[in-house]
Amino acid sequence: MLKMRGVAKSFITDTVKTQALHPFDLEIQQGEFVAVVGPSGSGKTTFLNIAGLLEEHTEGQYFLDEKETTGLSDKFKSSLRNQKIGFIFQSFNLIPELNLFDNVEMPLRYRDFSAKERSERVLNALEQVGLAGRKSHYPQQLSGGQQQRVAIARALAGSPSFLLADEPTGNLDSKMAEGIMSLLKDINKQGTSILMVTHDMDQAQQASRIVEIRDGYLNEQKVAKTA
Amino acid sequence: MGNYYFKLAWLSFKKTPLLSLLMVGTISVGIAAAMITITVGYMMGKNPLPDKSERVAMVHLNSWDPSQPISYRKNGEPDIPNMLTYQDAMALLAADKADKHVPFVSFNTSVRAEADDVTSAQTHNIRSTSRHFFSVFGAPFIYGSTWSAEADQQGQSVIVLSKRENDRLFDGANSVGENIILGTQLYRVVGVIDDWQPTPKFYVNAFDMYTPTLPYFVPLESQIRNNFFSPTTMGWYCWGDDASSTLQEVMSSECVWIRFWVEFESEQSKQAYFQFMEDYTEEQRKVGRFLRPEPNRLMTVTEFLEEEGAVSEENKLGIVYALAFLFACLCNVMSLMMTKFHGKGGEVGLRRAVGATKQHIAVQFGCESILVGFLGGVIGLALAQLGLAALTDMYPEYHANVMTMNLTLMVSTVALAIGTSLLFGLWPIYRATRTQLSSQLKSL
Ligand SMILES: Nc1ncnc2c1ncn2[C@@H]1O[C@H](COP(=O)(O)OP(=O)(O)O)[C@@H](O)[C@H]1O
Ligand SMILES: [Mg+2]
Repeated sequence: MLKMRGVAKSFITDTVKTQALHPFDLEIQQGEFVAVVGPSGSGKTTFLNIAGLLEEHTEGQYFLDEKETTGLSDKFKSSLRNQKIGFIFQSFNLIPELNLFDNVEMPLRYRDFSAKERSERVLNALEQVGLAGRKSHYPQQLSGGQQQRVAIARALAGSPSFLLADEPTGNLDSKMAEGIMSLLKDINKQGTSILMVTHDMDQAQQASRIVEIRDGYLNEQKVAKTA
Repeated sequence: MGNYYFKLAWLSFKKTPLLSLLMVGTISVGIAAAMITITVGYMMGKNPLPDKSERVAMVHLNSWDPSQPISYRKNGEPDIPNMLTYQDAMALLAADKADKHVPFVSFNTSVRAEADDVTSAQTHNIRSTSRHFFSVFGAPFIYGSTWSAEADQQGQSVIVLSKRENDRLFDGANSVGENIILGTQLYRVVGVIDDWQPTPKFYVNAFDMYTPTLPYFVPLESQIRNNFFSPTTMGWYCWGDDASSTLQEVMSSECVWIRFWVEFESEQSKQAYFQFMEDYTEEQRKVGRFLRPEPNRLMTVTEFLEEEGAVSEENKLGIVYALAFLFACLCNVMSLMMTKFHGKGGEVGLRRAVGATKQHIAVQFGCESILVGFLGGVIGLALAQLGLAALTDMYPEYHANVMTMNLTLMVSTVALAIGTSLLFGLWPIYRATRTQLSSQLKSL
């Protein structure tokens, strides 16, 4: 589903070149739950940005569902992001002036769905995260955990091939974090692949695979116990 | 999708009310200032007879003192009179070479309805002209019509009055057939014209072009028969040593005091008419008149307005200043939009991540600029109306038409606000579409 060959990323700023990611190969199959771990500043976000087509890699090839993504136009990449990828952010990033329904519907607006289909998808997604009854509420009326659930519903509404999550529980207390983890595992069981950056080794252990990034080098790690 | 973006624009507008109001306020002040000056300039410079301004022309004959010109033009060249002597006006009328002739002058006298008491008489300026005045200059009748050709020839005591005077004297009733007393003469009402104010009032001199139209109209020949003569309000020029202390003396003198307009059915006849004026002048030279070298003029409405400088230089300068002020306001709005859109960097990042293209973002913020421009335009329009109302009070000598926006100007006001706010939003919008993408978004 996701295949990277010799992908690397360097930033050039003020004549200083930072090799954020050294060349690596990686393949992720449909249905996998991959945790990305590593110390701060090691390149995890950079890796996720490349996987999510938010940033262009500087070397190598990246295939998404067999399709080479290198050098695609902004328009094309936007539509790939819209249809194949669901993003979940550390700080939820719900739009405060929109209610839950409108927040979840937002990505669907950039796609040719009828109003009816959009509405069905939004309600399904909210159902899936257990917030169907609160579609008219506004984000600030919810707890952090609930907000992250809405964000997950937003990521799911377009039926993506995989979810990208950059420390999705980083802003939550441990109890809420657990709830989110089990929701993500449920979603994964239903067939959506997940690529998740985390600091928490316990969470990482619940994934089916762990990739560690250290100083820009990417390595597979053994999963201690299968979930 | 348009709806969606305008909903977002409105939500975003409400989210930062102070910033939004600042933007709208700045645009509206700039737009109001620009539109006030533009309205005055536009209304002053408007073509008052759009369907026939090239077929209606004013006759200027160079009948003047051979020893010195009547005046000098702005460029220093000698000018010629823009009024005619009585004998020339009568000669042109008698020759009957144009399709319609409108000679006119004005005089002052007291006016009252026959039924009213003498003490109710008011002094008014009376337009003394031909029956074609109304059709050539476009004055619409609500009752009756203009007087007959016989009335012109025989100088019958018939009168046309304005709606306002008809309201005053006859309570707005159809007064055709009623009598009005001018001075000591009995005049019969033949028609009432509706409120009518060509802007500019092109058929008189520049300093009179924005004053109200006169309220009464009578045949020129009737003025002469009834000997109405008001030297102080006539606006006449004399040279030489002809006597000019009675109307009869003025009529036989070389004094110029009659404005003379003609209308042609086709523009082609104009050339022939000018030739006729030349022939007439040539003829008159044989008897020792028309000895000055400057050529006669047959000026169309547009040419005459241009020559008279209907739109003054100060007006044009005012528009330039107001546009400069608008530009400064818009630069401020641009920087406010910069701030506004920059503050929405998080939302842009989010929308881009979930699939919005740069165009989507541009359209979204474009709609926001349009909304700000629209609100600025509507408020600017209201401010401009207030400003124009204040100007109308300050300059009562200008007819209110000059300070009134027509529909075109109102629509243009809002369109200008929207257009400029979109234009000055382009750079902030462009910057917004360039937001760096990342899965690690700053909070919204
Ligand atoms: N846009 C950028 N320009 C320059 N350097 C960057 C940029 N983004 C990330 N980096 C550098 O790349 C490295 C990896 O950063 P990041 O992927 O954010 O690490 P992590 O998410 O693991 O904390 C860091 O050294 C960071 O400074
Ligand atoms: Mg990071």
